[in-house]
Amino acid sequence: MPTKNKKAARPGGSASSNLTLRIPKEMAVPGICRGALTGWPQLLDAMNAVMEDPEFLTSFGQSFASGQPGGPQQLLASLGAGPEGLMKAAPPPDLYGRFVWLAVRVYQAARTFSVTLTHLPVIFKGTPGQIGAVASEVLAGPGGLSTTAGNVAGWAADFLADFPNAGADLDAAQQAHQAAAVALEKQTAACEEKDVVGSIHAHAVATAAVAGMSSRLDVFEASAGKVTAFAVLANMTMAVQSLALAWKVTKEQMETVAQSKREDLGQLSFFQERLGLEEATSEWGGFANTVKSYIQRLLVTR
Amino acid sequence: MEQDWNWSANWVPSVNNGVLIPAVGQLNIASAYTVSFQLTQIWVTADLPNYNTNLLAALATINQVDTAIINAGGVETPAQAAQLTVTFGAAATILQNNLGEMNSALQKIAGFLNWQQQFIGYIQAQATSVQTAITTAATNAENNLIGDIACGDGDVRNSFNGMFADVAAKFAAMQTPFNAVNSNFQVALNAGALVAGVFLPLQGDSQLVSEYLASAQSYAPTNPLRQLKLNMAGSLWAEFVSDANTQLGTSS
Repeated sequence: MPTKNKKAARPGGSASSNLTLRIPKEMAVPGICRGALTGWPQLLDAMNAVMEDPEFLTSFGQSFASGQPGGPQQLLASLGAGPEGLMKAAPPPDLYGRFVWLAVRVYQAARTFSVTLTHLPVIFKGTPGQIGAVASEVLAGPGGLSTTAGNVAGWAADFLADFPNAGADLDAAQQAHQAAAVALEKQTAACEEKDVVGSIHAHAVATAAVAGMSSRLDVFEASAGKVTAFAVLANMTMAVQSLALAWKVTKEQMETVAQSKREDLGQLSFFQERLGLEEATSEWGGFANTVKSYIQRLLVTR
Repeated sequence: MEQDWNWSANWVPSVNNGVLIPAVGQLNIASAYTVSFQLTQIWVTADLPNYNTNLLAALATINQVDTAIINAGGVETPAQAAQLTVTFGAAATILQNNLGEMNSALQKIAGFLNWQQQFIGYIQAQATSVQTAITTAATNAENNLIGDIACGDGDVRNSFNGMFADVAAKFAAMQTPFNAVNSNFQVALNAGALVAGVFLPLQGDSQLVSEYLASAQSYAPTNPLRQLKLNMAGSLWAEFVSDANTQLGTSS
């Protein structure tokens, strides 16, 4: 039996810390949103800059299933045509719409954890054994919290499966950018060399060298834009990877808690003192509110 | 022999009244925004209070009947069963109607914002277009004059160059206020997009309340999970109503 001196398990520590309802460290506010929160404005700017580049569009199309980057304006247009679009079971095909769809699912899952834990004391009627069975169902039964967490982990994994090349694209873009930098450096040196030679022929050669430099500068700028775009996309991918991991850990936590002795699960004090019910309720509520605020800004175009 | 020439043009009325003033007017979206927001206002101020009253009444009825069944040792009469079925159905319909009205409001705002996006940078584009048209028309007039007069084309060119410089300076001077108008327009659209964004978690909440109620109905009145799901639905609905009022209500 738990005692009042026992502290609620801290999130994400040793293996035994899985015996907690508290938010795992992988999902610590605002960590899960960090990449996406800082990434989207940069991503949109960078993508606007490189959207005219056929090579970028080809790379993006090969990396993301639908080949459609989307964006807030496209999402507004989509909601103007069908306002229930983000409520559907299947996500929109474009990258941005899909990310927002996933963010709404994260919000719903966090809110479900929050309101479930808030009202959990209402089930404590009857014998500890009876209550324990009910508590186990809340945690890991059909439609229970482990299912909720597992669903989000699955959706995040599906997202990543359709966008597997973000890291490789970034590597390729960085290599291309380095090559462009070297070419630009060589051309600059050539221009400086030609400038000092005073003849008509040398002037013509220098003029050609300057033209060549202009061309290489364009390549350099375009490659820099691709690096930015793919870097932000890779950053977003990492955020979704963190999301998938965090909800997988949450699912495992709920399953671990559900495997506790029924007599323990039948005691409200076990939830309060051993599983950190009060702290967990506050943490999940705070996380849901953070994601809610984040989602509310996702239709702003720039 | 001295040859006099004279040429004049006044583009101010046509440029201002025909192009630039209407373009600035296009970016004044206050009244159009109000129109696009009307469905939201009707929903939040007129209809949501009724949905709220009716849903709370339905939840209260379900709780009363459940309590009576529990007090009777879990035995449910046919009348109670029928009442519960009807009341759960009524609650689901209330939520569906509320969601439908909310979605229509979102659709109106999203459609409006999407349409207005095309006018970002509109006034600058119009100014550039007008300046190009003026330069082209004046250049044609200049060339015709040079062809018409026997000599002194240098005088014509000097006069026109002076005019081109004047036109360029006037359009350059307009850029700063035009940029400010465009910037304010962008700020207004962003504010509208934030309002539209408020709907997204509200949609999520509405969907969850419906799911919690459906889940509650799947359990027997004596099962504690039913009370848990009903409480979850009630508290999330209360938060939904509060968010809608504070973030979309006219007092917000």
